[in-house]
Amino acid sequence: MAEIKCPSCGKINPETLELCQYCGTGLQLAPTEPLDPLTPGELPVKKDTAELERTLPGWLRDARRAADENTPAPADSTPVDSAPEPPSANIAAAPLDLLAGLSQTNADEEEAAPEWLLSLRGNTPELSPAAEPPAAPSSATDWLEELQGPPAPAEPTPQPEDWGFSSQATYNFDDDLEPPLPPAGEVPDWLATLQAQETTASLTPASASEAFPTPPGGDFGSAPDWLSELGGGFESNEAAPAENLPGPTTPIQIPAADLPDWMQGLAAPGGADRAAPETGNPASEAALPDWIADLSTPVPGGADRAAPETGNPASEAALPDWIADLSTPVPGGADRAAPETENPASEAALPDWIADLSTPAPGGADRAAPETGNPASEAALPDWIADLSTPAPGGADRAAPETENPASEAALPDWIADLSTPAPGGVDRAAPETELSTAGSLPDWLAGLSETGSEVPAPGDASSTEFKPFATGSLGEIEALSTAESIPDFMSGLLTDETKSDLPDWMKSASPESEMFSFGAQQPAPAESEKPVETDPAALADSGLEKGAVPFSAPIEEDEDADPFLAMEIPEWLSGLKPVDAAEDSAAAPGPDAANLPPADLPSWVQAMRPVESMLSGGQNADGEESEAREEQGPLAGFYSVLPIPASLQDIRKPKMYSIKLQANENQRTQADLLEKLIRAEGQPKNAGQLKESVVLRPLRWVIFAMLSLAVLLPAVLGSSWWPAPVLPAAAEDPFNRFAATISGLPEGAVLLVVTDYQPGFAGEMEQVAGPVMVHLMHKNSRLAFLSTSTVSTELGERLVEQANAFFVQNQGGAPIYEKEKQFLFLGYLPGGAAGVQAFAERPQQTTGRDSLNGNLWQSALLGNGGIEKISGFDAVLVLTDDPDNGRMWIEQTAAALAGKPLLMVASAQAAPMLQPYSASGQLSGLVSGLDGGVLYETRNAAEQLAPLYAGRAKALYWDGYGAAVLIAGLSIVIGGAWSVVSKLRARRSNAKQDEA
Amino acid sequence: MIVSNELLTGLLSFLFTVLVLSYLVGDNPGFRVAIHAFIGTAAGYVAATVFRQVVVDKLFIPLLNGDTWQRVIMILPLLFSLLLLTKMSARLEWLGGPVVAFLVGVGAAAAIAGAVMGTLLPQIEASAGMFSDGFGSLLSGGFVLFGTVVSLAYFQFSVSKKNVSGKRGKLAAFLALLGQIFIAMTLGVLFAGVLAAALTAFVDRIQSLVLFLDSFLR
Repeated sequence: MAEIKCPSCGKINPETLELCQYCGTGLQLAPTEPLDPLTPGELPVKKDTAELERTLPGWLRDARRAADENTPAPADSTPVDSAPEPPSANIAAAPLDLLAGLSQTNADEEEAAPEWLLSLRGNTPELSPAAEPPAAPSSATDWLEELQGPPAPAEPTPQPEDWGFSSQATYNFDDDLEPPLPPAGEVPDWLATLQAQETTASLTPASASEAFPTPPGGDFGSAPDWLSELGGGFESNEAAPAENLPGPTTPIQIPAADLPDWMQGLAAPGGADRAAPETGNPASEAALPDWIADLSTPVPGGADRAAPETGNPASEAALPDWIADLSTPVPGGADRAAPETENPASEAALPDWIADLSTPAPGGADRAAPETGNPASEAALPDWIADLSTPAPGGADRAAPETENPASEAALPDWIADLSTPAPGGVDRAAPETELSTAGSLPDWLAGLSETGSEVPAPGDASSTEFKPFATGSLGEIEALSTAESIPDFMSGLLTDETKSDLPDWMKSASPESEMFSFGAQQPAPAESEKPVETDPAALADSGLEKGAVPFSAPIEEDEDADPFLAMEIPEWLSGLKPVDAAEDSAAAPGPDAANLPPADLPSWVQAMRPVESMLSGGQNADGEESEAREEQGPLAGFYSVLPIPASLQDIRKPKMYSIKLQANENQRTQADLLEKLIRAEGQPKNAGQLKESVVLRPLRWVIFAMLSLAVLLPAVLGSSWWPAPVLPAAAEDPFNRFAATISGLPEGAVLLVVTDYQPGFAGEMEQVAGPVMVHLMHKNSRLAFLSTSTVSTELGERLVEQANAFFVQNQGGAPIYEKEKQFLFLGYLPGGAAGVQAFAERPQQTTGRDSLNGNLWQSALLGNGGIEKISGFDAVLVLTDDPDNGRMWIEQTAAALAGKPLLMVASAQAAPMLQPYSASGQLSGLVSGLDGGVLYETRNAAEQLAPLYAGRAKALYWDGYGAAVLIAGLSIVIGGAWSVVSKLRARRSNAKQDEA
Repeated sequence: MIVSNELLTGLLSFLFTVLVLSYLVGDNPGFRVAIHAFIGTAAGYVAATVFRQVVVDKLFIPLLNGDTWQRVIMILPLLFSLLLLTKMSARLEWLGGPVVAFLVGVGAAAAIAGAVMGTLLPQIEASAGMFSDGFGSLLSGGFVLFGTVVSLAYFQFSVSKKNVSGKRGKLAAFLALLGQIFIAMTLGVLFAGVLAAALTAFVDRIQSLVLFLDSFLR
């Protein structure tokens, strides 16, 4: 997931969020082209800001024009090339463009900005009246207190001006050192409307003159016109004593719920008449801003306005001093004039125009004295302040200047004009107010507000007429009203999230959530703001304030950098207003959408405050790669590390994702599946699956057994000899002939080694084959030494000799009867297999022949008294075996040791095929195998007249039966083979039929 | 009545022959008794033969009655024999390993040497000699050679790496088919020999029954 860094707090937020989860700032910011940086030492390039002048608020332009006219510009200052433009139709947008760059600043940027500029963007808690003792004579508010002139005399009549412009305007100047309210030419329409209402009403209550006492004919100096005229209006309004009013005021009764809090508090009655609606609507009073609520605290009665204020000291302490003094109960005109006369020092420290502004209005005899006593200070006042402090002749007379001063009315904003519209006096003032409101001169939202009132007071209710919900200094109030439908369109546009961020800081700071209204609950100032700052002597000198009299000052080095630009772009009266601590402005964070403003329209003096180029290099390391965060938006676009990012966040890297999925292609997966199947199959038990015995197998087995039995039994029982005897081979190289020839070639009394390596189960065959051979040997009087490599066949040789002896005894064949150890002996068992055979072939006496019972057989006379040391010592070796391996073993192991001695072999029929090659190769001197070989040998013995009777035994007893059995077996094989072929053919046909089906 | 040895032997031969032939009707206790009797008798006979003719005659007698040299020589076989007995113990069987290795080594050496010197070279010589003994021998030798080649070709199961299918080539398949025929004939001959041997044993047993019964009848 992507992350977005908050342009305000610099913290990382998920992309999906629209607001910063830490500070609530909007995250979706449009990129802004970075501005060209200013290199250190580079003089600011003068920009043609003529076109930008029109974007300035009217009040600022007027202030600048007034400054140019009344105050000579410094010699080193750049001449202001401002060309005041006529008030723009879209006044609401003008201040937005002007302070676009300021609205994007964050805490870091504000640190680099001059403090005086920071002070323009909002008030600081240190400047709040609550932080300053109201009675401190050396504070900045003191001179403003004195500026307010002598305390107003007790006025039983309501004081609509107290809630109106007077409180707002003085608040902006005194309390927060904010830029003054826009002049009449630049104020929004709704302000102008209010102003018009004020002027046309020609109401000059005494309270207005109390707040802004203006010497008659005084010079208002450099004050903006709109403010001066506004002051005049107020003068007339405030100066009008209650007793001079035609009647009690009949204010419009607006429901408390529809009014902003501060307006509800503002609507507090100044006298007995005003106390009634307030007491009847306490909720609305409670919703007022504190300072306004205190300001509008109802006067208990008549002229004693101090009673409610003294009864609410806390709210009074939160008020600016001058406002507090403004609302301080004035016992009488003389009492209010006393502070001015008693504090000449503070008055001297004031700027001239402010000093003039503080001249008491000639509302009464008491106030007229200081005004007349200080005519010079009046001349130094700005025009707008002069107008503001224009003395009213008093009573109905004070309304005359307003009504007779249409020019000043025109300069006032409408809303101020409306505000300054004098009431008909006392109760009479309500009538014009209601008329104005009903006449549609009010803004729509005000009109709607007045219309939606549950009850509209009758004319003459002065308290209701004082409810003018203009919120020039409190956008929060406007925002609160934005929920209602009575807000004018242009303010509704102001209150949107986007446009709100574009508001000037002074307007933002005027919102209730700003610190301006948090007098009692000041936010803890940053550590930087707590360090003592020094007062700029030059600035103090320019402003006419004593050193140390103003509790704010900007750092010297910053002033040095900013002074040229101040002299170039900022009016003198603004340059003299410097905040105490710029860091306090950091609390007034700009709106999140303020960064969307195009940076190219920044004035030169704003550009000059941008960080120098050295910050650009901070974002690059030795390799030239960007290592730090680079601002992408706002006036700081292109700079590095402007907004510090926590180191922990910088080090955070999203870990690289590694897939745990095995990377294998299709072939590997197939092989893995096969392997898995094999492994799984190995673990599964398998049924042995008993062979299904065929239905015909058992009868077939019985039939075959019966056939074989009959074939063997009948010749044996009948004694037939119908099976033809085999014919002796004619070839001399035939193994049989060679065997017989070899035996025949043995010398008389030859010693033969007879190896009986056949199993007892094959004795029936082997004895029939070896019997004729033994007869032949016995006829040759050969001495026989029996040996066996099988443990079970050691005694088979003796059986052969016994059978031959029995035959000879029975048949009187003339052959000698062999006796043991005379004609034959048993060497016993030869262990060791092939190795034993080899050992026997090499050293026969060391391997066998040593019997515990018979002693050393090798030393017997039969074996030549130990003369046989090798196997070659025997005249011939006759091997009787039914196993081709045993025959091959004897052939292989004794071939070298025989030394040409004949190796004869009598083999079973099953071993004969495997021994034929040895016979054919000459390794065997002769081979007689199978029953047919025995019959042949009998036939040969008979032919030789060796044992004629014996020769017929095998043929008589076995041959016919063997022949018949072989015939039956052959037939069975053929029939079985044929049956198998037929069965397969039938299976194929049936399968073919099934396939066809 | 004195039962002669021949009568008893003949009676037992007849009885066991019938019991063995009873397998014709399937596995039965009589067949099992006969099998067990044969196996037991054979085992006993083997043990007695080995003990007497090997352990006593070839180990104990030389150790007891032999001279010093014979006794010294017999120590090594005795030691090997004792080590072989350790194979019965799972914990000490490793002691018999060298003796088994010695026996296997000696037996393999004797078998291999005997196969080479007693079978391979003589057979090669004999087969080669067939080509020098005239036209008849040449044909016979050629047939033997052809049979040998095609039989070996049948047991050639590996294929080249280029052969993706894993099957023999056409020529190799044809030679293998011919070798299969030669092998089949060889197995047929062997089966015929086994059948002949079995029929001879069967005839012998039937003849023994007839002779036994004939001896009683006579």
